[in-house]
Amino acid sequence: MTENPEKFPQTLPDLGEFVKKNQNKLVRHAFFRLGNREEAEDVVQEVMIRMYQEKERKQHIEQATSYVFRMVFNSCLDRLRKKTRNNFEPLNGRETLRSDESNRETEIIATEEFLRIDHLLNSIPSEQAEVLRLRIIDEMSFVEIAEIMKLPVTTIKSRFSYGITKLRNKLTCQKEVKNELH
Amino acid sequence: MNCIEIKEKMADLFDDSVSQEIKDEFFTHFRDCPDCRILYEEMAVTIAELKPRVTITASRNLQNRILDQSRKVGKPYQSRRGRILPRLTPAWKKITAIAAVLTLLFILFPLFNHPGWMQNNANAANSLLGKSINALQGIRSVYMEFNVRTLENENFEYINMNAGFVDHRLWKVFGNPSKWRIEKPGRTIVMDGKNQFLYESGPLGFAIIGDPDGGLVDWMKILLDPGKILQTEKDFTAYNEAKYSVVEKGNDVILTVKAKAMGDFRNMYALNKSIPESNNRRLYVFDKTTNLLKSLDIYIETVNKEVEILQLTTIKYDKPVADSNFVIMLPANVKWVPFEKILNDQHAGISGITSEETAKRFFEAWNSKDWKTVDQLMPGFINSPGVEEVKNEFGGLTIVSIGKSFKSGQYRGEFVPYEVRLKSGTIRKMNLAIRCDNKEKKWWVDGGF
Repeated sequence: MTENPEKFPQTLPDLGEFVKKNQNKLVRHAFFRLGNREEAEDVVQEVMIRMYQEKERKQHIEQATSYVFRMVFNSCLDRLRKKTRNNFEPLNGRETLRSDESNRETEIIATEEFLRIDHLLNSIPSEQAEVLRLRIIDEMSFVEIAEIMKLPVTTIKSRFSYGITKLRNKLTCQKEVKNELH
Repeated sequence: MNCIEIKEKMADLFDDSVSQEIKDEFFTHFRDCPDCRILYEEMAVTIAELKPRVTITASRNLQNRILDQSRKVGKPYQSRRGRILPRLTPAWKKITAIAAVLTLLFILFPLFNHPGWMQNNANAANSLLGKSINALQGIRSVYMEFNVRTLENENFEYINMNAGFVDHRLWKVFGNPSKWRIEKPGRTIVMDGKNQFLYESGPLGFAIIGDPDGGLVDWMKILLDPGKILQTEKDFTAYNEAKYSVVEKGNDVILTVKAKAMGDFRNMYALNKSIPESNNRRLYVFDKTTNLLKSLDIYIETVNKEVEILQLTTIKYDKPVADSNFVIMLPANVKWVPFEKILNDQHAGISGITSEETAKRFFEAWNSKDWKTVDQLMPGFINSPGVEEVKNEFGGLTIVSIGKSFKSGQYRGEFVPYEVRLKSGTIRKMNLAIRCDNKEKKWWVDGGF
């Protein structure tokens, strides 16, 4: 994402191309944050429209994809904070289902997958979970993560290593408990 | 690498940007060290556990939804230079007209009689000047096409290094009086021999009649009369720090000018917002045979790069120009308003307060939908063609913060930083351009909204 300068689109056709190129990555990120596809798409849509509304003021941006990713990243965090403040469960099973029946099964599987990963990440410190999320789910490089989190790359790598180690220990313990039960 | 280093750097193995060569060092170590290898394998298994087992993709219609919404939203924002009124105003015409002339002259041709000028350059430039003036004597008209990195609808002097090129066209018929027209998307100015007419077609658009030397364009005016400008330039070069050279190359005479940004840049906000307010390099090419200007390119210089800001792509002399070029046809809902009338309105502006207080009152008026005060502080607002659309979008906004005012560049007023939240939730964080350079010291909003 950081190799070549990339300006934010200034015309609708360019916006279309930009959305096409980035929408899957952004929706995936938002989904694994929020656990709700519709909400994830709403976030991506809002960010894109807001950016396009302000396109003139965003012309200085050199890395539009990274910038938009960060906007989505922050919007998701804002939503989660609001939900926490309102004592609102981040996931409502019924909400995750789309009206299209043919997609119901897919959505259930996706929701279960979100819950599984979220459960794993919630078992380690949040700052480490954040790095693992961006590296493993969003497939970002450590340099890109460092840019988004405004931290040195070395810190990102440390958090990654510590996070993986902690998670590995937890998974090992879980396995041992399971084995004992059997 | 030993075991401690391997453990410390293990994350590199999961970084795509790390070279295979370095990764091979790890694997070589693993062959002889089962402990480290097991650690790596366990990490890899853990990472695999975290990998989503489903592929999440965007809905097929997400792209269309975004495009549809964006199309409806249109183009509501203007940057700080999107002034409701042109920079120069009749109330302060005497001062500003002189300043504008000086500005024009400093900007593009501040090269003659400079103390540091090498004599051979001086001779070459003087010779070029003389020939160029003579060459223009018999010319009846000039037509130019040029591109400027700027924003549509913006003032003609505004530049933006990060913007794309916007097409400009210029027609000039020499005579007594001369007539001319400069246009770009969203903004047209015409001098019909009697008055200047400026039409801006944006949502807060306007149509203004100024007098013949109304100053409705700034530096671009210099392109209207290339020969004469070169002549006039000789008298004004002492004000500018410029370096230049004249070289002949084939059938071209190339004049290169390097000029420093002019203005107060203790705050850098206005740096590179206009050609005078930038460190720039200007490259003029004259035809050695006809002595006429062939091309002009202007580059803005920053610390680590040079960006072309203006490129003259076409210049034609004596091309027939229809009289219809010197008339602007307005849409039915837009009326010409004499510039004098707007600015002599007794209700325009507020005196006796600071620029920051003016900004506060301005945004409070938007908050309470007090359109009378908005119009007082932004003269011409009420009569703008898209006023209802703008009221609907910005009315009811709330002030998040108003910062300390500052001056920057050549702007005669002050900039007041602000952050407001629109009803839609959108945050606008910009600088309001406010000025009071008039007899009664009344503040009014000049741009940045």
